[in-house]
Amino acid sequence: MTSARTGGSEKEAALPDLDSVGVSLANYEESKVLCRATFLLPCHAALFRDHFPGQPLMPAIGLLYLCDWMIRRWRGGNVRIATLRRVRFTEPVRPDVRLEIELTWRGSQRLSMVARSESGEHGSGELCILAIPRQEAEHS
Amino acid sequence: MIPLDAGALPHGPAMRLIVKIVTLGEDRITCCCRIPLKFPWAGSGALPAYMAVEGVAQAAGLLAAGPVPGESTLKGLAGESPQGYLVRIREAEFSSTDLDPQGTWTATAVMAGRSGKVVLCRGEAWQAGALLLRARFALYLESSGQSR
Repeated sequence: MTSARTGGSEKEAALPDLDSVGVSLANYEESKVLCRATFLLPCHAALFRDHFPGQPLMPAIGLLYLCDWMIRRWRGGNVRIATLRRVRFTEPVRPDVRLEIELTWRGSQRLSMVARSESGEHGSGELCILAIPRQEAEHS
Repeated sequence: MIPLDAGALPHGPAMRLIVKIVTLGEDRITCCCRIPLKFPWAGSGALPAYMAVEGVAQAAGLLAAGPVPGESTLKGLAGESPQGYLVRIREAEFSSTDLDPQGTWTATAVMAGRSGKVVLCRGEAWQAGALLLRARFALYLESSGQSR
């Protein structure tokens, strides 16, 4: 776990666990080419905190965080999001929702992402991941 | 430094990443940012660079809203909240350098176009001389801004 700035070296940033942001995992499944998870996002979840007062919406970085959490579980903890080719946030994620995120492996470190709930699609896009050399990740 | 009106951003304290505006031009803004103590992902050390997306989006929102002519402070997105949403990110590159939540960092947004209520910006975030992210953003503003 990295706890300090590394001056540009490629170490893996610690990722807060789901509990710490008030999210629970309802379902998780993975295969070689697909990873699908369903998250429960209650109104008291920290990731809605102050975004926005009186009208809570999950920030865009919340969706990136959940994708990151899935990628690290699926592809290994030494992997991180390196680029977003394009991501659309089509509909805000509001509290008390079951959010399903599906990641599909497209090869060459590329993934496609779709996030949806019973109210429809919330986001979609393409991203690329980067594997950190295992030795550095273990030292972080 | 340009004073930031207390209500310039609709975010509460835990998500208000901009602490002050460093420079503001007609089409460009640079802000000094810091991770608040009660930031939802704070507490576990370094953060992934993509967390800086929020700071750049907030800077872009301030830029899009623009200063009020004759006013000495930037009113930003003050008023009913929320008034702006990040709706798209393109060509984003995230550094392998982590975001140090203990330090300050800068978020810069440059206006790249506007189409109705959608504002297009290019953005960057830097910390201690290291690039955290570079991306293109699209924001949807429910209000069309002040005078821009």
